[in-house]
Amino acid sequence: MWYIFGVEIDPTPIWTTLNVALTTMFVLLVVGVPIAWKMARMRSRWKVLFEALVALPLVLPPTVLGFYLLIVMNPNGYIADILRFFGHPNGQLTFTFVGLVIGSAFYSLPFAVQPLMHAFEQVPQQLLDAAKTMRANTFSLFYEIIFPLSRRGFLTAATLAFAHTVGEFGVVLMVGGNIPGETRMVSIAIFDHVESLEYAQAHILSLIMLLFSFVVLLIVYGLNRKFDVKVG
Amino acid sequence: MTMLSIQVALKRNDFILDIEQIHLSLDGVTVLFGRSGCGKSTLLRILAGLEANVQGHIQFGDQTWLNATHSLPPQQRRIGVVFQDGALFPHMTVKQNLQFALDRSVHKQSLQEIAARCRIDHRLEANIATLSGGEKQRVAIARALLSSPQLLLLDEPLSALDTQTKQEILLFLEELKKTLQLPMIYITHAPSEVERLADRVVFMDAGKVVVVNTLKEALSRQDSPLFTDEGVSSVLIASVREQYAGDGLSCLALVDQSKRCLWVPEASNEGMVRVRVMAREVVVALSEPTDTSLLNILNVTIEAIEYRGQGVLLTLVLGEQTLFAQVSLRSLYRLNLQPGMQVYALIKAMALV
Repeated sequence: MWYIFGVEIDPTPIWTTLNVALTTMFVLLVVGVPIAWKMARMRSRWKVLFEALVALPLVLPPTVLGFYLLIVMNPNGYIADILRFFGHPNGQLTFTFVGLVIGSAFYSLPFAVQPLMHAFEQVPQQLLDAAKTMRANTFSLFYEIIFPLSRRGFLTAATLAFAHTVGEFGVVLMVGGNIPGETRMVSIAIFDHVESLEYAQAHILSLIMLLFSFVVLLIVYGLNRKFDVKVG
Repeated sequence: MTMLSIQVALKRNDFILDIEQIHLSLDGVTVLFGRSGCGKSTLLRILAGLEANVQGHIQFGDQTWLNATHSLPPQQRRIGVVFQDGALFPHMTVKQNLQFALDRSVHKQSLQEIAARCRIDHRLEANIATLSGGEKQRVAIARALLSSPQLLLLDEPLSALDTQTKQEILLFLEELKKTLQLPMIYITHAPSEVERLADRVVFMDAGKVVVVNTLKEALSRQDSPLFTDEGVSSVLIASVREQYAGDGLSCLALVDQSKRCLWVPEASNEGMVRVRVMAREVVVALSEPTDTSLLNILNVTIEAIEYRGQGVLLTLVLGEQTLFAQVSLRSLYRLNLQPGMQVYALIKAMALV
C-alpha cells in the first residue's frame, strides 16, 4: 500500500497496467513489423482492404471489439479447444493476463502498424536492391538498412502502442474483467473508486496517469527531434 | 571472354518486355540504347535479378542465372550495379558504404586503393548528404567495384549530373574501361556517351531488341538511331601525341594523316581517345586553306553522297575511318562534289569536346 497525501493507494493496478502495456508493446512490434512491411510494399489494389482492416480498432467502440474477442475466446469455443489440445489446463483466455494482452494487441494494432508502415514506405526500394547486389542477406537488409532508416517509425509505434494500451478501458473491461493483481488495470481501478465515491483515490490515480502520460510523450517527442537532426 | 545469352519476357500491366535470343560477348562496354520507356532499365534489373516473374533464360558464361525452374538471386550473381542517383545508404558515411560492400565481397580488396582510384579517398568520413553529384557517383562506382563483381551494370549513371560533372565522370569511366578487365553493361539514351564508351550497342525500342551492332556498325549507318535526336555524328579514334601543347590544346595523331595534328581541347587521358565529330560542324574545301583560324585540315576522300532533307550528307573516308559532313545543296553544286574526289575536311578545334 502507498500513502500519498495521507490517502491509501493500492499500487497493484499500476504494476498490472505497466506489465500489460509493455508486453503488448513487444507483441505488437514483433507482429506489426511483418504486417507493416507487407502492406508498405503492396502494389495491388487489395492494399486498401488491409488498410481498412488494420484501422478498424480506431473507429470501433472498444466494447464491440471486446465483445467479439469475448465470444471468440470463450472457454467453450474453438480456441479454447485448441489450447486444451496442446495441454492448457482449461483453455481459459478471457479474464486472464494473456487474454488481456491479446485484446490489447488487437485494440492497439493500428497504433503500431500505421507508423511502421509509413516509415517503411519511405525506405527507397533501390537501397534494398543495391544492398542485395552486394550480397546482403535478409537479416542484414532489415538490421542495417530498413531499421536505421525507419527508427522514428519504430519509436512512434512502440510509444503509441504502449501509451494506448495504458489508456484503454473498454476492451479491458470486456475481456480482462477486474481481477486484482491479474487483470485490474488503473483505468478500471479509477472507475471503481469513482463508483464507490472514493474521490480522493480516483484523484491521485488520475494525477499519476496524467503526469506519467505527459512525461512519456515528452521523452518521445524529444527523442524524435534528436533523431530528426541525426537523420536529416 | 564471357558470353551472355539472354532470352526473357516480362509482362506488366501496361508494359511488355520481350527479348528474343541475343548473344553478347562481354568484353569492354556494351551499351543498351533506347528512348525512355523502351525497357532498357527493366532489362538491366532483370540481369541483376531484381525483377520477379521473369520468364526465359539467362546464361552468363557457364552460370545459369535464369531458366524455367530457377532464378539465381541477386546475392549470388556477383554483379555490381551503379544506379542512376547512386543509391548510397544515407545513414552511413562514405567509408561505411564502401565497407558494406567489402564485408560481403568474395575477394577482399583494399578499400583505400579503390577509394584512391575513384578519387574519393579524401571524403571517406563524409556524410552522404554532403557529397556533390559527381562524388556520389564515384562512391557508387567504388562501392560496386569493392563487391568484386564479374559484371558491372550501370543504369544511366550520368543522367542526374550537370554538363561539366558529366564530362568528368565520363573521363573517369573511360579510364576504368582501360584499366579494369571488367565487362560493363551501360544504359543510356545519350549518343555522346555511346560514342565515347561503347564497344557494342544493343538498340532497344518498345520492349524489344531491334539490333545488336558494334560501335563501328552503329555509326556507319546514316539512319542509325544514335543520330535521331542530335543529328549525324562520327567518331574518330586517335592517339594522344602531345597532351599539353601549352595553349590549352592537345595534338592527336590520326593514322594516314602523316605528321598532321588533330587539335582538340586539352585531352585528360593518354593513349587512344575517341573524338566525336558532329556532321554539321565539318566544312569541306577543294583546296587547302592557309589563312583561316581553322586548325584541323584533314585529307579525305568522298565515298558517298546522300540527299537528306534540305542538304546532303557526305561520307568521307580517311584511312580506315569514316567522317560524316553535312553540307547544303548549294555548296554541293557550287563545288561540284562527286564521289571519289579528294577534298579537305575542316573542323574547328573548339567544336571537338
